[in-house]
Amino acid sequence: MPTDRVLVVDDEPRVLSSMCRCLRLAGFRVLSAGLARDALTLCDAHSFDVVILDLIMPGMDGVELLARIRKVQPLVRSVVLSGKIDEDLAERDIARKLRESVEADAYLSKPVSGTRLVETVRGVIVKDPPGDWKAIAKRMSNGKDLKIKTAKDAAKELKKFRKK
Amino acid sequence: MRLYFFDTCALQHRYVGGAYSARIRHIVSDSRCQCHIADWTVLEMASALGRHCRLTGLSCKTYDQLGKRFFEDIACGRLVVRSTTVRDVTRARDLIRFAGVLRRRNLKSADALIAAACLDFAYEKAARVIFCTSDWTLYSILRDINHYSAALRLRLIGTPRNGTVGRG
Amino acid sequence: MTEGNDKLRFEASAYLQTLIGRELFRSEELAIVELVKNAYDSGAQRVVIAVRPQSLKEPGEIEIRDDGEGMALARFQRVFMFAGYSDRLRQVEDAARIPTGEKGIGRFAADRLGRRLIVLTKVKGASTGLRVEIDWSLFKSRQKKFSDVTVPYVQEALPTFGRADSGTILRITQLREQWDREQLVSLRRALAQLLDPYQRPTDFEIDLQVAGSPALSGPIRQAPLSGSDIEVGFAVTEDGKLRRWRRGRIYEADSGREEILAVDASPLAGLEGRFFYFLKRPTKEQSRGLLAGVRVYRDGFRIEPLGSQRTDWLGISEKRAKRHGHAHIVPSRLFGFVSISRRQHPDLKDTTSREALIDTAAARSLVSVLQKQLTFLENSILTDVDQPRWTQSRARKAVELERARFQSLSVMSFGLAHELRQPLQSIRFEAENITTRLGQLGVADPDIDEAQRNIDADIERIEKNIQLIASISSGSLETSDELDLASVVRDQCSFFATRCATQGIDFQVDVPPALQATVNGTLVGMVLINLIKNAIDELIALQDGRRRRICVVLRGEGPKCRLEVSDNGAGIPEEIRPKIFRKFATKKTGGMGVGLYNCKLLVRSHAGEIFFETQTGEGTTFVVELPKIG
Repeated sequence: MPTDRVLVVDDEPRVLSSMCRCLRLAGFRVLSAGLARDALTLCDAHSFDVVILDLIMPGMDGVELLARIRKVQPLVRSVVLSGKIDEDLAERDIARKLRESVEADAYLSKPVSGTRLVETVRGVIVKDPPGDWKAIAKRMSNGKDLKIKTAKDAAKELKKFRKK
Repeated sequence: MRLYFFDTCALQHRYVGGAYSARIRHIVSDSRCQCHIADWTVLEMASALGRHCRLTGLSCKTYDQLGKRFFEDIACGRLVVRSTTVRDVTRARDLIRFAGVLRRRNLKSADALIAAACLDFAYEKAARVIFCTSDWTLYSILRDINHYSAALRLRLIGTPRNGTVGRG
Repeated sequence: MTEGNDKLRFEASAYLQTLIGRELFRSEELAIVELVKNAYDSGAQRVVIAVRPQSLKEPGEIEIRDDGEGMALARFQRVFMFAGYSDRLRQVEDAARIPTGEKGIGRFAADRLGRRLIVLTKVKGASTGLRVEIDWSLFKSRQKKFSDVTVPYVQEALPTFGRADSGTILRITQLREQWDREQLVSLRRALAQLLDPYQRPTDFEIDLQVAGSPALSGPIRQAPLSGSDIEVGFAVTEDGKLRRWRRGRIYEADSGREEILAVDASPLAGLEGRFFYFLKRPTKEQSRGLLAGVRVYRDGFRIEPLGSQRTDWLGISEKRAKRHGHAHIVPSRLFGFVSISRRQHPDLKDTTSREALIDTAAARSLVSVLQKQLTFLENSILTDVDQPRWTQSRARKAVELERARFQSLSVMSFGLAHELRQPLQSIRFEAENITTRLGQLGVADPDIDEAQRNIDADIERIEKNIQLIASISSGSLETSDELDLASVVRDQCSFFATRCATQGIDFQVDVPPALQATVNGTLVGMVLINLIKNAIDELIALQDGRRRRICVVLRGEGPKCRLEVSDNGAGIPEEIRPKIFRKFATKKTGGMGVGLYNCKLLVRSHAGEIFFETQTGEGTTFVVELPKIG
């Protein structure tokens, strides 16, 4: 859908432009960045529904970038690309390894076909969020659940809390 | 077919009369123009009309009549209401962060919501939508944001601070 | 001092006593050792050393009591009071026991231990004994003559001795040392070192009693060594030949190997010896508290300090120094015990200073025999320990070298893989974009579709090669993990099961339920995939109507794992056989495998082997052998 906004980040110019073209032809509204700081500038100005980035980029730390993008755009979904290391380990393993450092919504190994990419992006976009504000809020607060403790002695608890 | 999107403060001229009233009425009744509003405007309009009545000392009966005319426009399709979604809400928040905090402009929350909804509308229609507002602040803010000014044709219905009259 | 007759006499000052006593013995322990030797020489069966260390309540005392001959006054005068006297040389032929001391100065060891000495001695059958009290401090004068110092004595009944008893008690008081626990332990050790662990005199016992410390008291024993890696023992036979044997932990099959060497060592007939060598520093338990070095024992008693760590009388350290430390014998791990006898080897005498044997033909012969045995030991170490180690480490280095060569390729490869992958991705996208756009423009064309498919297929193919390069560079081909090889093989094979089925090929997998090995899983997978793909390609080409079959077999054989992939195809043609593992082998021009050349490199770099057996018209079997611990 043309209202779905996709941010594509890759430090290889032709990879970037070919990917953008692919997504645009598929009907997405695409913005792209070749540098981390440009990507972050765009994230300040625009709202994105999906960000696509290659985690292993010689020029920048993809994991770090994704983390920072998510601080600005907590609701953005992410599709993470990576070069294959082992045909058979591929996605499952990379996914597992990467999950330890950062969570993404989908993992794809390069070189990926355009069809697959488009399919995946469509798959992760949350169409009309049904107003589940609790879930939204969770994402907005970076996934931390707020625990509610009930205190018997309010003054004591308050003191304790203030000390922290 | 021209696509218009009205901010509440611009649309209210149609009902409250005044200098710009004719222009708005002209646009809304023109069949070549498709006029859209955000659902939020439904609420805002009540506030705008109410304010008008307070300031000009009109009665509640008048208020009700004005409101009825507004809903007639919607009923017969002269005004199309666009439902704002949760996505619009979150996008509006992003806009406030950008324009309100980073660019340090005074962007009001309702305006942000309407602007975000309008942008989405423009993207959906893949056309340059004409966004009409009477709020100089909103107008100048959007004018200074590249992707808004690129996607929308911004129209100020009213007097800018520096005295230049915007064209309709 | 002059006399008439133009003759001069030497006289000694009393201080000589102090000199001899205090400065001849390196330590108090050795002084006691000397007194024990004297007791032995006097024919004692048992000597008891009672030590009462000095404390706040009581003064210290050392009492050395033996049940030897004892001395009557006349003999005491002649023997004990005459410094340097010894009739031990004469004793040799007729005595049942071979005396160990011969210098007659051992008594002055007492001076080393304490300022006062009381000698109580009695001969057998006498009713009274001799009591002599000596105060060594009287001998300090350098002006008085040695012979001018008088020593009081009295003959009286000695209650500790019965009429039929004989013996000597040396009671030393006003001890010069504290005799703390450490020193007492050292004394026990020094006394133990006195005794030959392999030829203990059966009629002599040393007992040390320490007042108030049952832990430190008891008979002295020197236990033989245990757990040595190599033991070389030898004995000179009656007719002068050398009998030698070799044993040790490293010679399980060879134990007790014996030989007779035709040398002439007749002056050493009756000599016995053992060398023990430890490949690693021996524990306290193994060495029994003994220090390293070669010791000589005469009649069960150690010749001291000959053969101690300080002397290099066999030239071991010298040899090592000459070879800049490359000699195979490390002195600190060598223990030697040589047993000689005064009666059998009268010519082996120690010098006055007891630092060496007097240079006689017999002594030279002894040194020569010992050195020869040490050389034998050294050669044993060389051939049976060091050389195998070197061979092993050379083999390991060879494997490392192969891997290093492989690895230098990999360092370059990472960048290369990345460089190739990026344009590949963009090409893939753009090719598809073209098709999509054409579609959007309403162009539908089978040529365009097919072209797109071809591009995709070729991109896949390029990508697989990039993966190989990337695997090499990521090091996933370099490490080995402990895994179940059987399940790795089964998993890889399962990918091919369907493909074979569709092609009408029987695919048999014969793999044990589990096979633990430390190998590189990626390597095994890659090679296996390659071999199976080759087999499939081979069989697809087969048109003679036979039932086509591929067999994968995995076996653990001793230290190796053996993986076989066989097909019943046409076999490898003669002319190709020698070339098949070489670069650009001609048989396959396409295919998605990594190539047999690469397989060979990979397998070799993991210390494995890959080879094939083939028969024209029958089929081919490729075999990969990998060490289980890789």
